[in-house]
Amino acid sequence: MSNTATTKRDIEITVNGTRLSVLPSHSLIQALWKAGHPAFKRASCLEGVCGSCRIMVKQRGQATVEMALACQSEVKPGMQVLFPQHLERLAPSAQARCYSLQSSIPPLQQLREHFPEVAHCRHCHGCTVACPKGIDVEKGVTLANEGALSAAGELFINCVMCDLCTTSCPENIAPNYVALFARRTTAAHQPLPGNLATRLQTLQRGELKIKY
Amino acid sequence: MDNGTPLEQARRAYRIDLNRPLRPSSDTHTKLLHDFHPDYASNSRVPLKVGINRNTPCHPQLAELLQSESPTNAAMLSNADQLETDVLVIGAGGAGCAAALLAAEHGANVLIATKLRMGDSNTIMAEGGIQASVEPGDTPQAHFEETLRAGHDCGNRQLVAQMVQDGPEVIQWLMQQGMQFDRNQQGDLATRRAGGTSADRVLHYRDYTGLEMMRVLREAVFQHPRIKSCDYSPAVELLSNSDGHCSGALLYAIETERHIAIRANAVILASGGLGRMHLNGFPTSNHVGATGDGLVLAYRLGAKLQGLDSFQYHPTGLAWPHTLAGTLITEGIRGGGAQLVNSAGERFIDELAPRDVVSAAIIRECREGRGIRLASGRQGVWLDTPVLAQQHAGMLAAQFPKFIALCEKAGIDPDRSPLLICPTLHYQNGGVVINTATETTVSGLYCAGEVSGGIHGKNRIMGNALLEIISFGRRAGIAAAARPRPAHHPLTLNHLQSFHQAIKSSHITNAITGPLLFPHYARFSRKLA
Repeated sequence: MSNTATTKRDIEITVNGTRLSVLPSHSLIQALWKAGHPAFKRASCLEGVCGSCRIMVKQRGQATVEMALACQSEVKPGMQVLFPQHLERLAPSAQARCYSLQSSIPPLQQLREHFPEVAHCRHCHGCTVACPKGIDVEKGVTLANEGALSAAGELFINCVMCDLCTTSCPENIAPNYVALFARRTTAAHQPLPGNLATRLQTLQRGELKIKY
Repeated sequence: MDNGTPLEQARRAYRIDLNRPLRPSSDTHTKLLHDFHPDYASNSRVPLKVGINRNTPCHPQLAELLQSESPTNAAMLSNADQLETDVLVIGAGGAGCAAALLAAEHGANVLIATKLRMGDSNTIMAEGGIQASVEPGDTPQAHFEETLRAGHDCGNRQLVAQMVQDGPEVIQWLMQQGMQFDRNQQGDLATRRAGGTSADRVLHYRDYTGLEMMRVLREAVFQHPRIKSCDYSPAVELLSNSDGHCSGALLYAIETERHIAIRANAVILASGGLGRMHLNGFPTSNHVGATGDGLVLAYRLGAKLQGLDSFQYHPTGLAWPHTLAGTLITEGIRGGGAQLVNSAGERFIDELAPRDVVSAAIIRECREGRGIRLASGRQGVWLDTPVLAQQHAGMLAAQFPKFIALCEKAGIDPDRSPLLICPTLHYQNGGVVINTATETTVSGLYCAGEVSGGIHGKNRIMGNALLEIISFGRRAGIAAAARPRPAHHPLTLNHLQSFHQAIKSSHITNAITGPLLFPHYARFSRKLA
């Protein structure tokens, strides 16, 4: 053991199988940095919006593992943390999700073609439990399957594309990608806003040139 | 500094007051900036000693980085894995993704490389919105003039004119990519007012404008058959051919700890800013990778820079709790009616004055004993959100979900309690010199986004950063895809040798090597073999 720098204030946690002493009252990322552990590179925004620092956590005394974002998780004594590697490889391939927003194929038909697994949802709640942003992911999948794409997308306003729901699905549904498809389709098929359309026409006529 | 009112005392003294008058002040904006803005302090600039910008004033910390030595050598280049592409894009925020998409649409094979995960950037954190003059009473001309005025007339007029005229089309393009914007009941784009402007011109999606933009652009990049992406692979050096033109870049793959040499017909640098250099000891709103890498790489290759002594300190970074220090609170909250209040319960500045002026005024309050003091000695003032909540019930929850999530994490109820804020390092106003086609002074090297300079002068207004990255990102993609292919395009580090010679003969002693890649506290080390 080489816990030479342990002070009374430190708490013990386990990260990827290694026991570490860290300062309390910090996020996991801050605590690891302050303790001088360089192992972890997958942090970016530190505000919980980029979704890159996803972790699996088991708190002391709890039987279940939770999904979370490391920058949003306060260190607690005895917590066990796993930074999973290669999570993105579990996301559907670009080829699988190469739908077209400009296509004449109706959106629902594209959903069936590119995300056929949506129809197989077992309603196990795994995706909803996994979401670190508290989104009712399963409801979104259900709504999408029923063809309510706009309503499905609306549930995912807070989605940070951390892929934890996709990782959790036993049927290989990729809920966050389904929701992104739903949101993008909704946006691309909305009529152009009136104020924008008017301004674009004016500019196309060559008016409103800048004088300088 | 031990003046100011202790936090607990100030908290007890705080009362909601809807009729707080603005304290009269004889300080003009100019005087406020000269006396209190960090850019105007006497120790805020030194002349550069080497490179194309020799004798140009530069922030001392940035000067140290620009004149640092590179740990990269020819052996690393010859041992590197090799890849070839038409267009290499460095950086996968909004500017990089827009550039990659347009280059690919114009027929180029594109490789987009980024230090972090695809899309991790300051873009994804952008809250306030994107400027475009779409309201009937507004014009591109007003947008043009207000952008220049807020930047103290130091912006490049051609660049600004082009950007503001691009505005409406940029919004249409983003919608075609599948980005949502908030709309009013008539279906028009909803708009809000930015500080220092005369019209409602900021379009938004809640306070998640950047996240919504980045979700969409990242997916569009993944879907494009001519774009390959390479994440967790920062550029550690640009490469030059025998004419000194840019011929590619050397990447470092963090996971495999190997270097990758990319030969490219054109390189688009879209690597963002430098908030994580914590200039003058300020906290920052920027993401972990914002360490000014692009500036140092471009400078070594001979690209001209400008505005190296001008930075934006956003007025409202969270000051307490300390674990969240520096986190941005969008200007949209002040646009909605929140006020800035000192420890004496006074409003001391028009909350929607230009950002540099508001920040200077906050620093004045703290220096003159009207701030609120933390145990650490740091000071701030109140962002009075309860007055907003009283006047517009439900507005915070409906329009600012990201802000509400921040308050929950901080344990603050913004309907009842004000938030302690202080200025946070937010944006690099200057950068690499570009023309309207995003060409730099080095052939083959293009720049877009925060790494480039010339648009915002000495101060940027809310919403112009998101417009800039898409307007210039798209143009960079088109220009890079159209670059004629040179006959002979070897990959060398020759420019680095001459730069090192110049450093040596100027007797500069270096404490750091560049690029930094990560802030020192992240304790990253690159394997140099």
